[in-house]
Amino acid sequence: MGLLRESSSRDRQLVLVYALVAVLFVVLYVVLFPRPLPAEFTLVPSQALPLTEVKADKLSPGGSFFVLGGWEGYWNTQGDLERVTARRAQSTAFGDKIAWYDATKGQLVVEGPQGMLFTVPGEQYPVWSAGRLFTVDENRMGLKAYSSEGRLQWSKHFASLVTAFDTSSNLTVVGTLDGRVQIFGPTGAPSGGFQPGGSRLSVIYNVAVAPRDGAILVLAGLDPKRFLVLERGGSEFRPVFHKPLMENRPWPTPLGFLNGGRVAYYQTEKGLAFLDPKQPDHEVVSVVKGSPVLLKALPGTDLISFIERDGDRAALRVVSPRGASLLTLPFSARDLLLEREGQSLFLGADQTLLKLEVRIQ
Amino acid sequence: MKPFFALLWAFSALSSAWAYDWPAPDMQVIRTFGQKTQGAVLPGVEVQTLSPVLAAPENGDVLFVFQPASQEVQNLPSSLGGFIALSHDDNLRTVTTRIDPAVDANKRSYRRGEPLGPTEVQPGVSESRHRLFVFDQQLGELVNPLLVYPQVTDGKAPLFYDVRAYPEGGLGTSVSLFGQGTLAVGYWTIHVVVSDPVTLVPAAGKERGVEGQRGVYGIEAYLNGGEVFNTNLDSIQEKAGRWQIKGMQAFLDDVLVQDQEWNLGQVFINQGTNILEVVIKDFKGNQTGKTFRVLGTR
Repeated sequence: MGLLRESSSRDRQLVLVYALVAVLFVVLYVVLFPRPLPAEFTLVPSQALPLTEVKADKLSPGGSFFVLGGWEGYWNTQGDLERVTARRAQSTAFGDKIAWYDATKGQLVVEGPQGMLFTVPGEQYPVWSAGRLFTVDENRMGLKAYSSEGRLQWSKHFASLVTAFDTSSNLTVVGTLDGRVQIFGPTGAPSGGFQPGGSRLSVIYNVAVAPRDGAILVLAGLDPKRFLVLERGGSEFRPVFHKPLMENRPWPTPLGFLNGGRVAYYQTEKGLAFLDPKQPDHEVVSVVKGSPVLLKALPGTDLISFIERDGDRAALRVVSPRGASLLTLPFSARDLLLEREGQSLFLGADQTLLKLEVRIQ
Repeated sequence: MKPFFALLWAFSALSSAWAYDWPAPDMQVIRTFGQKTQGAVLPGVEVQTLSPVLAAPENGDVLFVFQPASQEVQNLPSSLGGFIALSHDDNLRTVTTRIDPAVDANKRSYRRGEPLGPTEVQPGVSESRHRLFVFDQQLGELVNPLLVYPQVTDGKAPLFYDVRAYPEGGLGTSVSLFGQGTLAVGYWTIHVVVSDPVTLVPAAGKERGVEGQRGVYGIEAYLNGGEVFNTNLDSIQEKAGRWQIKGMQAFLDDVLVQDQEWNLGQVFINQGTNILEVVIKDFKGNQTGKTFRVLGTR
């Protein structure tokens, strides 16, 4: 028994020595080879702004106009509401510009923080895309592009309904009910076109052009609906990838680019698929209940925020392009808004604007 | 036997031409295909109804559903409101607008007469107006819906308001051929100002129907017996981003220059008496003709 006791005491000493060596090794490793901790993402509500009529005589520069349900308004760089009024006919906002159709005078009106910038005669309804002003005719069969000073750059009529359109700073891509995709250059000159096949019925549901014109995404056709990636080959865009989809919703579903064109997304039957447009056969699906709408890249991150909508039920979601779901904030609303402003995110829900601070620590 | 087969063919062609039903039985056409109003051409028809619901004009597959109130993606502005596009077996596609269509991914097709969606009609209080478009998918053109939907009643012939001649290169100094029978020898451009009057059936809560102006369907013009213009508004095609009446070289905007005003093109007025005949017609076949004796002088 005495021998046994002596042996255990020696073992305990050895264990202690080994433990000390291990701790010393870890301490030395941490001191000599420090590794940064992963950044922690938080979204902190900073202000809730109920929408009631606010009229400022002058608007401070640098802010943004917004449209939410039956309201339109302007928030300044601090995120304070300087103007909230009843929405005017067909009003639509982009940054510090707002455009609307004045039916009494039969003209389009474009305004900035300092007041009216210009008017354009004729019945036409404004659309902002990539900061450029376009107008759609009353029958959705005509499109006009305007310069920032209100000068008509080009005008097109189509022999079918315009079902989708998107622009970069150079290109304008138009999809129509007859299943054609038409591409126009800065002067309106045709820059190619494409009619996706492979489906029983031809129709275009959505189009998106990459910020630097490298690729065009298309959701087209019915039975099956198809997702296509077009890339520029010489002077034309040619399909480099196509995939039949399981879902057959006969209306426009989300499609686009984020993070400067590095990430593409589209809606599948399961949720939102994210992919690298250069390797479109590898995609990651983030499960979504209902329809994902109003997708925005979060400032200072590669994260993506959007609203998941299912009837009146909605949720603010934040996901990574690798499919990880980071945040779900459920709420109930019919009219929705999601806008970035500096390091803030504005979430609009019916009568309330919620300002959220994006923090990466 | 040949006349019998010809008759059979004509009957089947005619019955297939009007194979579709109006989306409501009381449809009245307010504005016609190609009609220019406040500078904008209507590439379909505008109709009025007291019906609280519109129905599918023919069996068709659901191609596109748009519901502006619930749509965040590609919610392009228009005055069409909610609409539904159906694809039919004969390569035609119809679009019925200003309704509240069901946004249901499982609803893949509609039978003829099946409700597409409610209108904004308040029974006994107000009617609602809708635009109907027809597209030929095979030919890639906009088709006059009156070629597809059943015949409309129209007891009134179209009217001339003016026939004017513009000298070559001088648009500001036109003369009305109703008031002047003498023109200088040379090229003149002929414009006609025409319309098809209509009295609409009294709307809800009103005793008298509204007097309206519809566009004409076709115009023919002859100078000294030779055809100088002959066009029917059957379909519109797109060329280089502009609309063209099918079969014409000129663009639609160059032909329909103003509301109700058509440019029939240039004619040469010879020395002596020139006979200019202009015939206008509506879709029902009612027509009105005018003959002008124009004396060409040097």
